[in-house]
Amino acid sequence: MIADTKKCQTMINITAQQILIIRAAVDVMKQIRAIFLTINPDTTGTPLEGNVQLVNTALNDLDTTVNEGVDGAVWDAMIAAIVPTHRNKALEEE
Amino acid sequence: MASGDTLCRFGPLHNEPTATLAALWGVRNQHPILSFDDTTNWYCVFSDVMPQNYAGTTGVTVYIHYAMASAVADTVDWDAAFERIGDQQLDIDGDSFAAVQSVDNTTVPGTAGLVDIVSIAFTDGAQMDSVAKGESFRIKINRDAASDDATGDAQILKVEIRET
Repeated sequence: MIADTKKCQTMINITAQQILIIRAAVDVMKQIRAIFLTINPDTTGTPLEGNVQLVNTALNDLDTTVNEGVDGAVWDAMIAAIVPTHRNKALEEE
Repeated sequence: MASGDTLCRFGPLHNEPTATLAALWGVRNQHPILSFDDTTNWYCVFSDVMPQNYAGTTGVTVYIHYAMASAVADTVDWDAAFERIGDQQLDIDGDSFAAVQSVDNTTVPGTAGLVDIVSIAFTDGAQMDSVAKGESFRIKINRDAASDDATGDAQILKVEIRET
């Protein structure tokens, strides 16, 4: 019977590692958004037509969720708790 | 030989890796280590000849020197088992380890790099697979990862066998 501490560690490791990926993705999207807004191209006929503000808001919400506030603090704590030598298998052997 | 005297010593470079689930050889600040997973039982094996001055009465005690990769809380369990090779005692085409003896529920050091020493006593006879002086033998050690609760690898640095 695998200890609960290890099952929790698998959850922490995988979730935190994925949040790091999401944060990196958000950073990429924020950088490209800044360039896009500066250039301000014509969106007619593209999926962005009429949706620029919506995409902008959605990206801000995502940024807030993964980087700021209560959620951001929880993610920070989980990222700090990653154990590199734990191989994330504790939830597979039940 | 007197009780407490050293019979054998092993380090990570003496490991004879098992065919599967072998502990991982590595270094920690250039100290050779054998790493043991925290979820699946991994194994290391050492072989030697039991010294001629082993009295063969009180058995042996195996001392495991280990550190945790990162854990500073919870516990670690270790198992060890002897296999007598001897003089025409064992066909080495197969394994024949005796039942494991264990040291369980050891609270890990509060600093990850501190080396802790735990011990497992074996009575002379069946627990040692009846290894006698002058006979070759193997000892297999594993972290009982299925039972302990410290997270992250445990790392063996040295193993010592003393007369009990």
